[in-house]
Amino acid sequence: MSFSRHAFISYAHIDNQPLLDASDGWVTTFHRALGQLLSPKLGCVADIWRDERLTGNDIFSDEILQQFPSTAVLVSVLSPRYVKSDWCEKEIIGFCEAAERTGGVAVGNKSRIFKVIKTPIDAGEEVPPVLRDMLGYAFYETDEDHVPRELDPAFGDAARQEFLRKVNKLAWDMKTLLDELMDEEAAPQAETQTKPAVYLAECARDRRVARELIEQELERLGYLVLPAHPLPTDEAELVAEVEKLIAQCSLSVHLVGTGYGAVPDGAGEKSVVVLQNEIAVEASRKRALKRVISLPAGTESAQAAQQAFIDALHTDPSAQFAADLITGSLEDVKSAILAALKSIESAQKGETSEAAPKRVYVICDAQDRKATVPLLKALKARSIDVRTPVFTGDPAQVREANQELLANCDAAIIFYAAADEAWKFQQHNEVQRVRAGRTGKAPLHELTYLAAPMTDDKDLLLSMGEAGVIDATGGFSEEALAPLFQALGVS
Amino acid sequence: MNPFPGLRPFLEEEAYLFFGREQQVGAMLAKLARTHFLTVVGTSGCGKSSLVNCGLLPALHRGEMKGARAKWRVAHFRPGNDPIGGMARALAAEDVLYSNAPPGVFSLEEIVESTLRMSRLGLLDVWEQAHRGPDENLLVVVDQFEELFRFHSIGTADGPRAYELGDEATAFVNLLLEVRSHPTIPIYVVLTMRSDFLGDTAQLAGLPEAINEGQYLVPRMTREERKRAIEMPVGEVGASMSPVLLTRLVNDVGDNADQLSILQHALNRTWAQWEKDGRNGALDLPQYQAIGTMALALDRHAEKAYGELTTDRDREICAKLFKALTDKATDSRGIRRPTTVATLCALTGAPVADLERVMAVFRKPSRSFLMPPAGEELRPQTVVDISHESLMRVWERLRSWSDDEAQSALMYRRLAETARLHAADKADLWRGRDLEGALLWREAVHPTQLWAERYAPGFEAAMAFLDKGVAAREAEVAERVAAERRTAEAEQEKVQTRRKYRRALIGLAVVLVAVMAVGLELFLIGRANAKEAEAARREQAATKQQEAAAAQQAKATAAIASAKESQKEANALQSSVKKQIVETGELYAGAREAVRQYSIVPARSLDRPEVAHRFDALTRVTALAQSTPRAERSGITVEYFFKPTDTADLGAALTELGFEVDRKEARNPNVTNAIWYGSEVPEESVKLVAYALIRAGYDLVGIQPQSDPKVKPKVIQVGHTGRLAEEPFTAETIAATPLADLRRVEAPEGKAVFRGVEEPAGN
Repeated sequence: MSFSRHAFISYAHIDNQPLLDASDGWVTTFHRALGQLLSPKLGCVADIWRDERLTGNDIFSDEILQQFPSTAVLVSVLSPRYVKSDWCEKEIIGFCEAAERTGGVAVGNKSRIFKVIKTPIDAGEEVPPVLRDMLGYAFYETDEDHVPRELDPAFGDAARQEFLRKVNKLAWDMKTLLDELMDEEAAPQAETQTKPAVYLAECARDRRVARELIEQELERLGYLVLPAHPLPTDEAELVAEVEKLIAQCSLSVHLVGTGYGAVPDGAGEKSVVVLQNEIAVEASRKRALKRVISLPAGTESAQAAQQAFIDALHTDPSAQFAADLITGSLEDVKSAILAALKSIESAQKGETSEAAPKRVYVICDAQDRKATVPLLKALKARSIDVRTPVFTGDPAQVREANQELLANCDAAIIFYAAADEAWKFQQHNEVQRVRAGRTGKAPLHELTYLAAPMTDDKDLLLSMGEAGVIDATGGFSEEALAPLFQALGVS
Repeated sequence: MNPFPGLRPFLEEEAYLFFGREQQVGAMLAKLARTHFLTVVGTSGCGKSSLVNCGLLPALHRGEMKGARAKWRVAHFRPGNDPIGGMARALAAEDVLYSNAPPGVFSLEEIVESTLRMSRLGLLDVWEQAHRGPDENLLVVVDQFEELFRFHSIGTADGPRAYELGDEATAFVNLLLEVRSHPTIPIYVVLTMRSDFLGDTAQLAGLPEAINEGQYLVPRMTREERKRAIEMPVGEVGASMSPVLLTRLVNDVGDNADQLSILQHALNRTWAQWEKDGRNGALDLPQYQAIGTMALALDRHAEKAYGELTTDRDREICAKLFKALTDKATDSRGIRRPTTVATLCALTGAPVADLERVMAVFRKPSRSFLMPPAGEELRPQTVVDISHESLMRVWERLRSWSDDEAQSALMYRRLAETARLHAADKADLWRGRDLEGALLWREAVHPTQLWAERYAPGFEAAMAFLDKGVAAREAEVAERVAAERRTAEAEQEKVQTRRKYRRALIGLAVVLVAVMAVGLELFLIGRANAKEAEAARREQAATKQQEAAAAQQAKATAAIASAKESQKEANALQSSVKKQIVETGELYAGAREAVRQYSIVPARSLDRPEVAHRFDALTRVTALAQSTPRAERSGITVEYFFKPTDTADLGAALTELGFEVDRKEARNPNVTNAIWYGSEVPEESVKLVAYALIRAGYDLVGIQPQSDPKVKPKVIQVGHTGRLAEEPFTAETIAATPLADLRRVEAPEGKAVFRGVEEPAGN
């Protein structure tokens, strides 16, 4: 699909009233900033337009409607005044109708409508359905008394940076969507699909900025971050929803601070923070969900319920179950999350090879390579994926490659021929170490293949009659390999 | 033009003057190509920055790195205390990634920084969003990477994490490290770092691995290379150097890489001297010696600049400025500390104009001891820095400044830490030498919040802690003085009690003896003419009675002896009391000395007059004895009536003061309390005797002239009077009043206060 215009900004006239006569209104500033940040990401000048609404009345122009079919994205600037205005309804409905004719409002799991919340809407207010079920971009901050204040670059350095950060994030998300939308050839990014989803639990107000920073980094790195929609406010519905979402994720992240967090309606009277943790603990017990909890050192809460939760996290094994509790700074938390994801991803890689042919790694010394040939042939004949060590190259790289081979095989055969006893002993140790570090994967089988020449050590091994020792000191024979095939389940 | 840069590193455009390290570039290129992440490590002053600027960069531009694209965009910065901001400024600088960027709501720098902060892919995102051509690379040069370990989160956090590297440093390093995971993206990172900070890199996850992969340790220069580095630039600009000087320089610089920057400075100065001398012939030894050789050139040069400061105020600003720019406290290795003009103004208390005037003498192009160089405007956000650490080691004055500063910071940190522990009830208030030292420090340094924050948090708490210590000490001194006084008073009371007891005892004994003697006599006379017959028997009885009387008399004598004994005891007690009074005076003197030395506001209780005026008298005796001729006193006789109750015998003291002393033993038990003086006695002598009496612990109530001028004109009498008001003189009153006015009206003869006044002869 091709669009001639990137985005349309829908807003209420009153939200663009300048504070000072000479200055720009909030929407004008937002519009310019979005253009400034989106253009370099797209590599061209971003075409973002809006109705100037110079008259300030609610007369809706049909010209706008005519432009919608060629507009890729609608940015809706939400405020109490906006949801009451005619523009809001007409522009959103108009855009949705046009979108249905141009591929639909949804692209994959994303929407072509971006909700920018300038001023939060009271719970009772009517919000267009398409916006209701959307998290949106909060361009306001709430102070300790829960009074919202909009972010405006004119309100000092901190507000300016925060405003910039949010516009930048919005621009990035728009760019990702536009890429998918504009370039039909491009398949959805392969990377995104294989990357695991992360459940980034809702948190209390005091950790919200930290949560946003983690979210933006994870999304930038290509992970799907859930929940993508607002959680229900009814306890039973919320529990069901969170359970459903966590089931899609391989990792859950919980940010705990001084605030207890919102308490949904219901009998439990537990906060959303506590509920999500409980559900995640349950998921960890059932299917080994990995978890990361961030609880900055020295966090204390004036709220008794929250303090009890904090104490439980520090001391109660069931609250902390299967979680890595990080007391350090934000960067420590990010590092822990990324480390957890890395191990999940490498485990997933291992899983996908389950259906693939069995892999056997034959460990031999360089001088014995020729002697392994009959063994290798026999294995290959059974369509086993046979690997032998790497011998040449940079020592560090050689070592890394061989460890990788060992880590990803189903069975390791120590080919004990001309090499000495110390060689055999250390190879055996190495296999054991790798086996110990192998959790969540199929077991690693280890066999020792004794080939000529005969030595005292081999003689001893044979006379011990231990399992896993294959006697080929008298030459190669298929029968001797039976225990291996049995273990691998190949005939 | 001078071909030697002096203290600052060689700039890229000076590559044609950079000699001696040509062989080292190849290895650096190979490592950078392989890992995309090169760390150039070496000691301070070994030329790391110059090697990158004039070795590596020109080679890259010449296309000597295999496998890389043809063109290079270079972002060059120092991390300072805002590494991500620094990187953003470098990337957003004109013609690095962007040219003629259109204006918008946000500056390019802000947008780049926001993108860098978005995720660890920030640097890659910035590169991608710049949409540079397919034939371009980006080289990010982080010069003096060790600054990251120096400018971490001091003062931003409390508690145990206060001195750990913050999120900022971690996020910054993650941005750089990410480059290694994307070898297909043409971004390369070069760090320069002092080798003594290598261990610190382990604080950042992933960084040691990256450094291990691509580390280049700057080798020392061989003798041949050193020769080239000295000789070639001279030839390059069409001059020459005498072989003698060349040999001397090569030997002076030795094998110490640390000396290379000092060598560069000496060369720069030698060249300047040669130009001053009229550019005659080759550069030669005389010019090198004229500038003080390598050993002294830098110190002299800096001193010369310092000497150009004309006022004390400028010199003071200068000291504060350099103290702010160097840091030996955080790290005894001694590091520079780039600081913004705004902060320097606050720290030195000088407006920008004054700061600029002081800095100007160090910024001259021929000197460039301070960065930025002359000509660049100083804005509040401009970062000022000394151009090279070697200045800290070689310039003696700066060395002593930074040592002072380190001491000062150490004191503050110790204080702040103790204050913190004290607040947690884990440490006591400071006292004794700790407290005195801290007070002296505060007096001398006048520390401010801003200054203190550079070293440790908790300035206000530390100052409050110190004040609390002072208050506690004052209370303690006052309490001690009060306690001494109480003891003295108690002792005096004891003496009075004993004295009353003694008087009663003596009276009793006298009456007893008299009664017995009279009784015996009457008895003997009355009965003498009685019956003869009974005479013998009575005589016998009389003898018996006589014996009994004798025994009683003996008892009475013993009683008198015992009374005398207790008198002696009383004397001893009194002398101990007086001794204590003197000691109290000395204690007071000690306290006063402390007050003077440490400028403590004195406790009011220390000014108690009863202690003070005795001490005052001592001072005045000494002063007056010295200020008046001794000969004046040699003709004056002091008749001194030493009383049985007097404890301090002034005889020896008066002799020592130069008087003729006529010492007499007085019989009456009244204390010494008055002097009389003859008509020819000089005023000073009278006052001298008066002071001596007061100092010895006597309460002087009368200083009277002899009523007849002809009587004993050259005599001062010391005795007791009961006819004068009992309000003692203070030494201060005596000093301030003419002698004649000191005379007091005497009570009429009959109204004497005490019975048995011993009037001196002729009075």
